[in-house]
Amino acid sequence: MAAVDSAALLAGLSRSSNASPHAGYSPFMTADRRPNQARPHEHLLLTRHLRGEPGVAASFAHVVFDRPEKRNALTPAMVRAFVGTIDELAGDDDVRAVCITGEGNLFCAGFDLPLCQADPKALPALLGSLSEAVAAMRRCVKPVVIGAHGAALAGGCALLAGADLVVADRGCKLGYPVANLGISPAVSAPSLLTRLGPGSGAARRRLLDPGLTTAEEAAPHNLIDVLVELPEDVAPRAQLESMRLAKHPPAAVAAVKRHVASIDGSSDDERRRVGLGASLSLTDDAEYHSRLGAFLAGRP
Amino acid sequence: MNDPEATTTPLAELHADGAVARLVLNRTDKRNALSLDLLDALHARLDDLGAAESVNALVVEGAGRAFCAGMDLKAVLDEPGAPLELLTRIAELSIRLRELPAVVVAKVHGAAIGGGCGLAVACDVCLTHADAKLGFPEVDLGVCPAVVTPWLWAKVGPGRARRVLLQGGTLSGQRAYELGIADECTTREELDGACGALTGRLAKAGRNALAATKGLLNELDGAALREHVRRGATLSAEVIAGAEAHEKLRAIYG
Repeated sequence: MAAVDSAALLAGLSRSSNASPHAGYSPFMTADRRPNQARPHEHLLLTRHLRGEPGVAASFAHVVFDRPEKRNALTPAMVRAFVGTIDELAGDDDVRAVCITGEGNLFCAGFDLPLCQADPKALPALLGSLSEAVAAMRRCVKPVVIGAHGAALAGGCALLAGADLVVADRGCKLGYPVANLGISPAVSAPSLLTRLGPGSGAARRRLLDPGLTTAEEAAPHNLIDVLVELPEDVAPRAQLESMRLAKHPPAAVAAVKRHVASIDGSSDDERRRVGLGASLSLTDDAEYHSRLGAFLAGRP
Repeated sequence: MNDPEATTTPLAELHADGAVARLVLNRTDKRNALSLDLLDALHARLDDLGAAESVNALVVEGAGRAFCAGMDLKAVLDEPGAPLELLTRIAELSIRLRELPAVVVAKVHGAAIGGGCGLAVACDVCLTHADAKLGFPEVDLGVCPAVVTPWLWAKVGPGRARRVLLQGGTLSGQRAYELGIADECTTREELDGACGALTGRLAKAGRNALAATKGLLNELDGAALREHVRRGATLSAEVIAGAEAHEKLRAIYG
């Protein structure tokens, strides 16, 4: 990757994001109403940043998990809308790259657990749609960049394995603490093995250890590609990386993504099905029900 | 436990404490070198552990100065068939550890050499300290680390496995961590604490969830991996029976 003066760029970005919304159009504002914006779901914001707009060097789409009051906890409908959005963007000639970030204090805390307790169908639906979401990013013929700030836990961490490039702040917490709830993160195994490989050691450790790690510690194991200092640096840098990847000729990029996916197992639906099956096998388990109940009862 | 070894010093010990069990190599005068007797004792302790229905984590560790100095080739060199027997038991032990439903943690202190490092690599997680000595010096002795090769290949990938196995010699714990042979590297003083923290986390996790995750990871490894390990025992025994290995080993063992 070409060297850039990231400090200067970030300084420029933070100036533009601090500017008044009336001062001009900036691709680095996400929460405000802007042109080319849509809500594929109540908690999902989609913005198309088109080349020629001020500050946009190459066209890309920005998908934001927008449920900050629930730490962007995933619901089945939200993840299904995400899958539909990625598939739609994959076929949109005006979009050359996809950037994904989260609103609020962290990228994504994983599944909506109170919903899982209230509705026995929610966990199987979430596992299935999560598996689809990772597959959708992998089959998308455009570069997919995820900017993870603060924390990417459980299902949120699983999403990272679908991206072509992951930006995170050094202290961003990562991991799969779900075995504490009696949930197996096996659904994430096929894509995590691909992402962290060759060699299964790092994925085996990460999936079996319910403890958390940081982006800085995880970077040597290929989970994180670009480290930035602070959580607030993540979204601007992810958008910058998206624009940079969006500049490449799309047919060549698509050919590379398809070819790599055919080699590394990304398009192996049987592997994906086996991983999902292992997680689904426990969704009726007594261990899961009692642990989830105890966990939610202990929450403030 | 009705065990004739119990009256003397057992070569392998099993300590179960709630959700965490410890399997201890206890042949300290030989730095826990893998002899037929030690391997029999380790298999027997795993029999004692049984289905381990209450165990979330099994720590494999060595008593004394080192985790494991490797295969005890000296004792079997002149007995026809004995090297194959030794290698087969190591292969089967590594497969058993991999197939336990509990998460198996290698706590490597001091040294893990050759077959000893292979056992550590077959475990789900390997912890070591920065100035420990790990590695596969088999080729230096005219020996082929064929039992270990599939485990290392699976863990660190083909490129790194080739480099490590073909260059022989040993590595520091820090270097082993950088290459992905070890998953965590601490100071010598902090190793017990790091292992305790990991097993503490595992003890609190759901056993079914851990077992399902490990089972799936084993399935994704592919059944061929275990067959490569078993075939490795035969291949390695053939190499040991050759003139090159005999010459090298005799120079060392006298």
